[in-house]
Amino acid sequence: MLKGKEQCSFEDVWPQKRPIVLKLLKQETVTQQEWQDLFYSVHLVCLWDEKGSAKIYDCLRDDIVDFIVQAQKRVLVQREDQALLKTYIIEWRKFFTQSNYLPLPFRQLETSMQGKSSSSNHTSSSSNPQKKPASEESIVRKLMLDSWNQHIFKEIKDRLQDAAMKIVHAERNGDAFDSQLVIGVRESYVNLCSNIDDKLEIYRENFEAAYLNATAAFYRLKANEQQQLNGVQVFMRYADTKLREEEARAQRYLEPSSFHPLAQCCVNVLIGDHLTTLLAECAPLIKAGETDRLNLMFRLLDRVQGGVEPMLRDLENHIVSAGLADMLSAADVITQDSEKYVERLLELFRRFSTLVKEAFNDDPRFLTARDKAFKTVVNDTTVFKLELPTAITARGTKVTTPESKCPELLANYCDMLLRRTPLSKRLTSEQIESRLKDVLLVLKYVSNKDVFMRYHKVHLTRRLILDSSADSEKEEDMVEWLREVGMPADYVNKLARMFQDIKVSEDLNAQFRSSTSRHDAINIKILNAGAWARCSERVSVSLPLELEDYIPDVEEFYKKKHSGRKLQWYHHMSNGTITFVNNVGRFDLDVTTFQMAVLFAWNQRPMEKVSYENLRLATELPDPELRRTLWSLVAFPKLKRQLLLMDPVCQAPKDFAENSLFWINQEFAIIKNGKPQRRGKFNLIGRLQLSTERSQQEDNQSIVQLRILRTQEAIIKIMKMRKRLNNAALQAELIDILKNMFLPSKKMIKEQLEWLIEHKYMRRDDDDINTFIYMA
Amino acid sequence: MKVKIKSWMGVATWRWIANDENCGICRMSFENCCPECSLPGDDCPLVWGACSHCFHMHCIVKWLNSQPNSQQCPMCRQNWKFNIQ
Amino acid sequence: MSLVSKMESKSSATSPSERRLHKELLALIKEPPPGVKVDVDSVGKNLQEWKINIDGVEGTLYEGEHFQLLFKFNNKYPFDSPEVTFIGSNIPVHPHVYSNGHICLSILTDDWSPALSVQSVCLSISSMLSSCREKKRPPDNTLYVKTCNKNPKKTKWWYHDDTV
Repeated sequence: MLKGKEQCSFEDVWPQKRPIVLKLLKQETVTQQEWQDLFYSVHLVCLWDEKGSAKIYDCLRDDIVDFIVQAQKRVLVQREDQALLKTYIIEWRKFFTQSNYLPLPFRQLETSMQGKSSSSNHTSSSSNPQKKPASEESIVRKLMLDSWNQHIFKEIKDRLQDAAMKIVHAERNGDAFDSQLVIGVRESYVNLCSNIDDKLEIYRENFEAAYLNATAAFYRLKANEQQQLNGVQVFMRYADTKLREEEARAQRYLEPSSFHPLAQCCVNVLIGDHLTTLLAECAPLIKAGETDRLNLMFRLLDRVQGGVEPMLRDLENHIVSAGLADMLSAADVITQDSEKYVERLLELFRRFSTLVKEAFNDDPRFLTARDKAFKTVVNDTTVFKLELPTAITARGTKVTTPESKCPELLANYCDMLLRRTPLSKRLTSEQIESRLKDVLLVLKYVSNKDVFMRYHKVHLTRRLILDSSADSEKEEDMVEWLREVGMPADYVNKLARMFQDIKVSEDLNAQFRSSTSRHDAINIKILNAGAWARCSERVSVSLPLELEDYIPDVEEFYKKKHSGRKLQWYHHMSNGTITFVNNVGRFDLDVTTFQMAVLFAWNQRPMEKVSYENLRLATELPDPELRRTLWSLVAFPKLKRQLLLMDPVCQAPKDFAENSLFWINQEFAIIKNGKPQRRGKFNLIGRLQLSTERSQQEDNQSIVQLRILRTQEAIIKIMKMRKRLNNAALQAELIDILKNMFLPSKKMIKEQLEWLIEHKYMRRDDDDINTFIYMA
Repeated sequence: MKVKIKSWMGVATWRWIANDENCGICRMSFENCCPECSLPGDDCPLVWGACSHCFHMHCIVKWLNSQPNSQQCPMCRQNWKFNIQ
Repeated sequence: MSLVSKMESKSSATSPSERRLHKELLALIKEPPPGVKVDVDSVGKNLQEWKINIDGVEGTLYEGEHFQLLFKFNNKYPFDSPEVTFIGSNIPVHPHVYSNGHICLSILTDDWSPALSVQSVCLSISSMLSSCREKKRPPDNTLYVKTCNKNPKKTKWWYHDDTV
């Protein structure tokens, strides 16, 4: 305003100010006065000269380009790669530093230019209301960087990249070079970008791409070479080392955003491309138990898609085949000896659990594969099977589906640990506990837990009735452990009830004894019918008179204690100790009540030979029970001299005829060290009795019956909740509910669905026979 | 030769002495428990009325509780009284 | 059959009232008393509503006639009585049966007992019909049918003379 217009035009002002700009470009010193003049002049021209801004801009651009062309010449003069890089980096750093200063005096230019060219910047500035630092949106700075990009970078970037990659390559081959050069180049790529939305654009599209390509090419070659030269095992270690090396190298030479793409690139070339070769090693390594190598393989293959799944399959297959082979090779022993079987199984588990831990760090996927394989081994039926009748048809023919005998053997093993046996005597309390826990571990894999439950209960019944538990505390612990591992609550509650019955019976016996002066050697056990195993069948027997007299007393006593109840005797479970006196000596024998009844037949006629027929009349035992009982007295396995003798001699209980004769062995004695003893105790109960012939057959049948019942219950439970459900969904839910007990067969599910439909619990949808609708 | 009993362990279960097979209220057999229970026996006892009719305790109590005005035996409509023996 | 009873005694999935209804239903299908027949299809759709056909007894005023009863049960059954009405085109003309099918019978309300059953109710109704000496509607039929609640159990019955 104060000055004439002619003094403010571009043509008037700029020629004097331009040298200052050139000085700045060349990083030469400018005085404070010059610096301030430049500010003022730009301001003046932009405000007073209508076309001033555009003219300054054009001139500035020309000067920048000129400068860059000079710099380019200085760079391109370098023939040698490293010198080229070095020069480029020096020039670039200088230029880049100036790109922070030079824009400052041109602020007025920016303001006036922005009015015109706002359309290009508009979107970004309006979408981002936060004010960006001046240098970032500076037009002059952008001009500088873009010009550099166009006039120098585009020309030589390939040479730059090549040179940088050569350095990296040399480094990979073990030669040392100046890594700062690579870093310098990378920085120029990063800083060069004027795209504020994607600042790494130039870096990514050029430097990163070149780096990845070079890496891939390098290792593609090396990997094949290594494999052919040293084999797969060594190659795995090579790949592992190189992956780590490259990760470390990336930290130095790449931006963080490139770490993942680079790792992926290395993984692909070093592992992905060799997947088949690597996987081929897996099964042999598992077989050889090479945990270190497997661990390495796992770490490598876990990094590629589809790498681990085949390993899982290999592991599962191996455990199954090794496990089954192991069982098969020991079939003779383990089918007879539940201790050996369980120990063999546990040994197998331990072996493979250790493998999974050491080789695969207990990775959940491998644990699952291991568990799946264990399940197969445990439930396999090739070595031994339990025949369960699936259905009893009208004609009485049985269709059986074989199941693994594992649950039965597990229950037997449990019994050996909990009963007073040589095994339980040999072990400490802690050892027994840990073995019981082992059983529970195996039980986890058994699909038909109901079989275990039934056998376990039978054994427990026997132990409690015969007072043959090794440790009553452990017995009750076991019940709680079974609860903890998810055995059905009503089953566990019944076990607990059994203990309660025994305790109640003890109190009852004490009261009974104080109420009567007679026989204090009589004890009773009063059981709750629903809780115990095999209470369904009662066998009549003519008791020895001594006992027969006694029964009414007990019944009367009980009636007084519990009005409205009466006792039902289960003599096949009762037992006692008798004193047997003959010419040789005097022996205390533990016997079943049936054995007692048979022996008492001779009390009045000790020397007589009694026929089978007469024994039946005397004892009133049913035929199968009498045969079994007699057999235990004429052919008890552990006795050298039997209690009874027979004529004719039979080979099996079924060979007894009506007129077969039996008599007391007057020479009976317990033999120790080849010498007959005059005194002694002997247990004739053994594994016999407590169950009747029929109830043993019924056992397996009742497992099936119970399964039917459980299946029906579960179906109703599901249908009641869902109201309406299709077949597939119903089956899935059903299996889920029943999995803690047994695996229902498709056939049984179908039969029970039909039954429930027939009995109006549910019906099929009229429009879709595969959908069921709950009724009521 | 002589056999003498030194000791004996008799095993028995017990059952209710009821004049009917089923509970007149829930129609379940007395051998089993009432429909609300799962284990027959001590947990689901039977009770007798002065009229000698017998029910699951849970069943008769439920019935009596649902009858605020009169307390009758469901079988014979006599006034219900628990028979305490 | 043993399985059926086991099923019903043990299944925790069904409610006590459902279990008892099932038991009664199977018994009624298996051994129906003379002149009483469950409409199995109706029960099949809904266990809480049964249609039962009963025949007029030979030698009575209703000989040759066929009636249909509707039983509705709630989940308190058998502690709560069922709602029982005659339905269909033929409502018996009887001094204790209203033309809308409602029945004035004390065992259906005040004198209900859980020891009663569908079968015993059917037999009671049948014998109520059989003992009738003159076919006529209750004297208050017109007024009652106009003013009564749909549910006969809501009616405060003043029971007619039992002897008809």
